[in-house]
Amino acid sequence: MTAHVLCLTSSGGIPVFVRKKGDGDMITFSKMASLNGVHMFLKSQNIELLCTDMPDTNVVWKEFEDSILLIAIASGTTNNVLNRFLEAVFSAMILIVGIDEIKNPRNVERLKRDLRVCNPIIDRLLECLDIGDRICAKTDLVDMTDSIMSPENHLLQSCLEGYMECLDSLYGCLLVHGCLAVATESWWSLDPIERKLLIIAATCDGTCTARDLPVFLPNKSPNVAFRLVSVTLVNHVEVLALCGPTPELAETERLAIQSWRSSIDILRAAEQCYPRNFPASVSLDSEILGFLLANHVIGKFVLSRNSQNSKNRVSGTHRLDILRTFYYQAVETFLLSGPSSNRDTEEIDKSVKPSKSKHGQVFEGAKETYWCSEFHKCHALKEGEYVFCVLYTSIVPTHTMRLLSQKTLKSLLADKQVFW
Amino acid sequence: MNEADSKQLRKSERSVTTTDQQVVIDINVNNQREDNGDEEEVDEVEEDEEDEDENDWWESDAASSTGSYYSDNDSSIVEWDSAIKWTGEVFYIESLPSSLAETRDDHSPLCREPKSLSPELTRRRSTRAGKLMRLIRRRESRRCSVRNKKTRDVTGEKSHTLGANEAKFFQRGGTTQETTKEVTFRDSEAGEIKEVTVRIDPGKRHKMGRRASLCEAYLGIVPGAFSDNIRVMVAGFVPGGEAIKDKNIKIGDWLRSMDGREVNIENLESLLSEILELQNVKLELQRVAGSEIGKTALESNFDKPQSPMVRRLVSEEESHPLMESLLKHSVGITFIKTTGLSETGPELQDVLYTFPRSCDNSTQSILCRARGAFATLDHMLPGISGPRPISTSTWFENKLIHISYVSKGEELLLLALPEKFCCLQETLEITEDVVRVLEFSYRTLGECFTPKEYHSTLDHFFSLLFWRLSKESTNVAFTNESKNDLSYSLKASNFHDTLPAARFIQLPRDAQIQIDAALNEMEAMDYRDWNEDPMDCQRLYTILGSCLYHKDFLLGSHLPHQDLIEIHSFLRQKGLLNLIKNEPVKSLIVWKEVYPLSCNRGHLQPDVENEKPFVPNGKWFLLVVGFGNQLLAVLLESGGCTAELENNASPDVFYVEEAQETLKHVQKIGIPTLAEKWIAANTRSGIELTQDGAVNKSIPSIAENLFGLVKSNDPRSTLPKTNSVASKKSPEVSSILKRRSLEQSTISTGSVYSLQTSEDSTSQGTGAVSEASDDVAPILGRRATRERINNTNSRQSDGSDSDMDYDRNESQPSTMDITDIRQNLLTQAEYIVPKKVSAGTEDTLLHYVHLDTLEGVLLSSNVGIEGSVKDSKVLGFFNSAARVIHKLLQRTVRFEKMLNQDTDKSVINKSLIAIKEHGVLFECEGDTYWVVGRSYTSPQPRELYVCYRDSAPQSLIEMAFRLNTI
Repeated sequence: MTAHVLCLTSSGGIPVFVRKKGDGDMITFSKMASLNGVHMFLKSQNIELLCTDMPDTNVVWKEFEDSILLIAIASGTTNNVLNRFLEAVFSAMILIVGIDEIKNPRNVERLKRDLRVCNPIIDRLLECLDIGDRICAKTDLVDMTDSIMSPENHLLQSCLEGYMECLDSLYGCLLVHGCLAVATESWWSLDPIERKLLIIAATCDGTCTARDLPVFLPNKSPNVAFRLVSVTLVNHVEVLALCGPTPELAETERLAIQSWRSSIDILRAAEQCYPRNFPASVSLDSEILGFLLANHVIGKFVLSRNSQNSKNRVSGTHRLDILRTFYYQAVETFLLSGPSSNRDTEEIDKSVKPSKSKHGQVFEGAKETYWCSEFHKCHALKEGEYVFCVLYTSIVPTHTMRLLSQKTLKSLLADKQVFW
Repeated sequence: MNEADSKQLRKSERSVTTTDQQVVIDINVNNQREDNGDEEEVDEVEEDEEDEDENDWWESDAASSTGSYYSDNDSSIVEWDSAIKWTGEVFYIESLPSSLAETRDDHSPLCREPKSLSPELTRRRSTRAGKLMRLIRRRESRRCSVRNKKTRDVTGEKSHTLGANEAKFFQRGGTTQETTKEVTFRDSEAGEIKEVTVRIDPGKRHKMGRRASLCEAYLGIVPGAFSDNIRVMVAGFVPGGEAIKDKNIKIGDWLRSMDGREVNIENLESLLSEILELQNVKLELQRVAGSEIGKTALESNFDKPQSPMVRRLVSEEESHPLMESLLKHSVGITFIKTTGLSETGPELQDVLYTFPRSCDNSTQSILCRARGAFATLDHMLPGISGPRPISTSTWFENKLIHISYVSKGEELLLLALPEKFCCLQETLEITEDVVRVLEFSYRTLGECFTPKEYHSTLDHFFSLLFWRLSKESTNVAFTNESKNDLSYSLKASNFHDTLPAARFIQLPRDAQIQIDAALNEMEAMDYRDWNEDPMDCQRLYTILGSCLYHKDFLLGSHLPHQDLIEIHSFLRQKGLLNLIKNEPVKSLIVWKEVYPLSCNRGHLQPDVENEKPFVPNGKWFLLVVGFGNQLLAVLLESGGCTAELENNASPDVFYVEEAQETLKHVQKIGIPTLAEKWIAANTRSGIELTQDGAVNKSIPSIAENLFGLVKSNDPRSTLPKTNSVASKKSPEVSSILKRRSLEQSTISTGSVYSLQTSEDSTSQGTGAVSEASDDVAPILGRRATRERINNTNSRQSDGSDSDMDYDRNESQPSTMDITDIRQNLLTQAEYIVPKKVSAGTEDTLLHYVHLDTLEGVLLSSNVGIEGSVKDSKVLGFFNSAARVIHKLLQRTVRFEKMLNQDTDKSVINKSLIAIKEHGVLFECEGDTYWVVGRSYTSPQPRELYVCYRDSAPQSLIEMAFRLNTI
């Protein structure tokens, strides 16, 4: 029920920040010191401590750049997820202060102060963990872009591209309720974690209508900062762009109004799509409670609940929580563990020790998986770069799930207007 | 007579505490010890004569039927007797000579096994006379071991029999001969020369029996020859003889000279015959072998030609080089105490035991060096999140290493295994298994690791464990490389290999009954009909239960499930199951004091909460006897009604023999052959479906099907039995055999067992008992098993059971011969058809594992080893996937076990708690397969894993339910 993330300097063991989610107590200073000490002692024995499992809780240690030690303690989730979570947390630190400051901090106190800006981002990342409580506001995955399939995406896409031209920027996207509706091609070339963090950074504080943040890109540009500019177009719809020194924020606002004025109705329509998150032209079978459609190659997903039978006793968010748990526990274990998926090969290229973070077996050739529990059933289908996870009511027969999933996936992908 | 006999004597010298009193066993009363005082001489002479007479009678009797069984048996007792350790434990294995010559992977055990066993198969339960003789025989050996202090005379009689068997004994090419060979192999001229003075009394000449040699009679030495056939070797001692009393004379010594005169094989007897009066003779002996042969049980075992596998299991010495070689792997086990340590103490003050380590303790495993970190984690993490840690993963020298924790109070056991040996899940299961064995064997981990004297045994145990694991993993690597270049690391170790459950195979019902009956008979320990006189002695042990294995398959169990799981773990981790799976043994005897969980691990305080039976001063012993490819494990209890045991009790010959006899009886009625056939019939050469004739033939028309059903009038035939009908090709449906084959090939639902199917049960008029809907499932509890005791036995049951009286009245001495049973069972074996679980014309079910976690039993289909690449891929996927699914399903089980108030506190992921079924579809070379795991909660927790083709017409549920009814 609790998730903690601790950050310490690996040389001195000085705590940099501690964040937690859930109802547990704060980790005391002495516990933190012990957790760090164990890692340090084993390092002196040439052993790298990776993780420790308790019946329902996992502790993961990860050291970055020989300067920062991150420790995550969370219940109800997997080591795999925690590892990626820690990578995301470290990326968030780079996003705010840059890699140089982390590698060679002039002053730890100053670093601490600078990283305070990170806290809301890290809290949002903690929300992405699946710790088994039912009270999280939004169901999100650690390293994938939450997106929305709005009915007229192709029109929005051309509007966005026109706006980006005006801004003289390659990287831009349109968010509806924090979910990505459309983005430029270059935006998709960013690292999934970078995309995730940029969106989180832009939506952390929902009160302002325009903002201008200096950000380092953890992969693309960890040393030179960009400007992340966001402008709210209509309620809950904003446009993000990565810019150089120009244009100024006021100018971007002016350009935004100019570019989007003609598309206000489309934006409103897209906004109405939330929280259904997919066009009304596609109808779901009444047995389907919700679904999670993910593109595991690009790293984006759509999460939706079927509003047709909202009176079901499984409450809304909890329902999507089940899908997330299913995704983390079963889909990632079986369907996404094979070497075939592109993201993994990228990882292998990037990291020296690829298998370290990936425990256990690799299941090659797995295509489908399902769970049956007393209250609901989950079914996941992998087709090409898509993974389609569906939550069913418990009355649906097991073999019918397969047919329904296949049919629904086909109708979702067939809609050319969706342009997902 | 060989050295083992003398061991027996020496051992019992220790055990018998009454030094001044003559201990004699009355001929009619088993186990009774009487003080005979001064009358000993007379009494004994009479007895000797009696014994001798009966013995002769016996010999002739036995010769007609089974040849030299008893002499053989006798020698086997003597042999394992030498393996008794000071604690009373026995771990004795003798490999079959045939398995030495042959390579281990002999592909036709089926053909060989009955041949090699048949001479050993003895007449059991055939005539009462035989039994009586057996008793007497047994008593004799026992008496010999009990009264040895002063009664040298009795050995006269003893060695008389020896004389009779002597020629055979030395020719046999069996143990004794091979002992000689082994010793001569190492003989060298160098060695310490000893001079020993022996007092020779020619008057004793005839007390040793007519056929004893002079050397045996005078010197008490059993002579043997070195390889040159000239020099005389001390091949053994005569119990009570002169030589045995002198510790300087060792088996394997070269007897150089006597009173300064050179001794060789030719002149030995003549030299001795020159001695006419009481005199002292000076013997000159020379050690020839480097080590003290026969000094310890291990070494004496080691001397015999053993197969490499047996040698590895038995010899603790061999584990030392192995242990050092393991140092370079990142494996390790360490037991540390976490409290009471001082800052200034020595470096290893907290380490109670660590493995592997170098001989001088200078180098420890990486685990031991880093233990502080894990102790800290174990201590600290509960403060953060409640429960203690179960495992840690680390990265060391480019290897992923898993460390598992077992925390017991103030002590902590750590076990490290690299990922390339086994995955995390397996590591945890192995740890659990190891802890179960250690607690079963030593009561608690603390009592296991703290005493230094256990350490060499533990070293041996762990080196075997790690050796086995490393071997398995290298095998996998090898096959993967040679067969197909598998880039991914699917482990080939079977999913069910580490589960706490024994693999059960279900033989035809008649065979089951025979097995149950044999076990029952042993467990009942009803010996009253052996003798007209009442048995007024107290029994030494009560038998709590027993189980029978063929290879690594469980054939029958009468054990409470907790005990079965523990005993299974014991056999598995000691490598015994692996041994008998791979090669037949000539003899295997294991005796160990154990602490079963079902008996509260022998703790003195009764466990009120769990309401476990409490036996004051209870002691429990595990007896394992093995022969061929079969093992019989017996759990004995001392306490309550039994006689008091001495400390470090060694196995009682009587019980060992009884177990051996039971095992041999089971073998004699053809169970091994039947089991082999069953396994062969139910093993596919590969999981890939071949459209062979058998499958095609087994598709009768529906009309024929119905016809078959009506004709057989089988109440259970609700399901179309394609196979069974097909097997019934001939028209004589009335034949009992045919019908039986039909019945046993169906998947029975355990309903009424028809009377006619078993001639033997009806012939005794006690078939009513068997009719009483006893399921095939092992019957638990001693009371329950007794009910069927009369079923197929030729022997009467214990009449004192009131409900048995009616049986007793009408039961007549059975005329059924043992060979009939064998014949019957083996005829049935011809009709064994593979169990087909899925319906339909095409068998889409590839593999299944049915795990009954309560009973500790699992059923699984066999897949032949020589499958194609695709087979191993599919199976590899199944094994890995099943492991993941098992973990998930266990979470549900764990949650359900939690009390209500605990569930609120628990941090378990609520989305995971109610999952009953988990399936994965995967593609392998163009075909798609499902692996599905499902858990059941009622009537008892069970799990079922199946692997079937995607093309199956959604028959999972049906398959699952059909499996359930087995």
